Amino acid sequence: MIVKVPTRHEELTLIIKVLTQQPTKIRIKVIDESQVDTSFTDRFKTVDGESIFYVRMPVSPQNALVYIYNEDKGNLMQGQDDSFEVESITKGSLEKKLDVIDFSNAEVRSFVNFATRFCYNAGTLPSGTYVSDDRKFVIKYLPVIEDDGKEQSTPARIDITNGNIEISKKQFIKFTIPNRMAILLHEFSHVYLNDNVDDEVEADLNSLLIYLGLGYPRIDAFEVFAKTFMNAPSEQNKDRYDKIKSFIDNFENHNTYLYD
Amino acid sequence: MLEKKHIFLLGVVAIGVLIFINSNKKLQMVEVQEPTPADKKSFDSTSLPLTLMPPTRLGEGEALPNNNIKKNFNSVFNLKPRLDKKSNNFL
Repeated sequence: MIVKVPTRHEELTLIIKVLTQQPTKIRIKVIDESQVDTSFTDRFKTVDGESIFYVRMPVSPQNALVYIYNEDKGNLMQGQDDSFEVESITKGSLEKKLDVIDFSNAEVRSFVNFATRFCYNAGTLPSGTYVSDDRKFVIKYLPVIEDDGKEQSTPARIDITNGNIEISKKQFIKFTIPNRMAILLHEFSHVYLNDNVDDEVEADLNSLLIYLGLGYPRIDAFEVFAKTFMNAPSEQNKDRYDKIKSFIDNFENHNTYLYD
Repeated sequence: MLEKKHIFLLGVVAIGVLIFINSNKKLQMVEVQEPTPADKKSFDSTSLPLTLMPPTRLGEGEALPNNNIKKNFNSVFNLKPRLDKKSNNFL
């Protein structure tokens, strides 16, 4: 089923209560009603009994369309699928922790503003070069990222000599807005926040602090880090994943995480 | 008779309850059809709030801003970055 929710560009959390009689894989998607390739989450959970989905939305459209369906049956109208029931959809407040973000740093302020606007509109922006309002940050939105004429698998990368970011439009339009933010903040962290410019874990954690502080969904961060940055199973990637998980858990529990 | 202090406390509690109720609004669920590509053709980004407006796009041939990265990676203490490790400058 698809439910229209007036979100009026507010910051909010959608609280979706779902009921099933047996373990059922429930898919939740939230998209913009009017802007193409603009998605706010795309996730699933196997629900047995009652379960609540929390969709954190630091940015939202004028009207959101919330897709809720049994993954095995596909999206059907209400009444055509009795394998689950949507008990309620509630608009709640968004919990943010802006105190963990160093907004006294003008570069962080400028980049968060630039990245938010870019990620929100990436589905409709034409390829080209985009600059932040203060012209400190540059994003080259390319059809694909190439090296020596060969297409690269990375969705984004940053040039450490000048801070220019390259993004593959082909890959970026498929991502949710939170996925896009996590990727851009990761690239930004390499050059502007890291002590060691090429330390991937340090960039992960520096970017996560901003991402989580702004109130973006935790599950989308896991997803993008697992799929995009750790595309090969290795001991190093397992260690990286464990550090990210530990960081997010500690963030939720209000503990300070020290990276060494 | 209620004292001023009690009236004040009741007022604070009432405001708290109102904030709680209004912060969690259960929505009336309105089921809709899947939008068609034609439904999305009319989207106009100028209707977006300032914080969500598309960023500035440089024109054809317009020069890139020449930004010096302020951060000194080659500090005496950190001895970074290790540019020799990469075949190019991208991370």
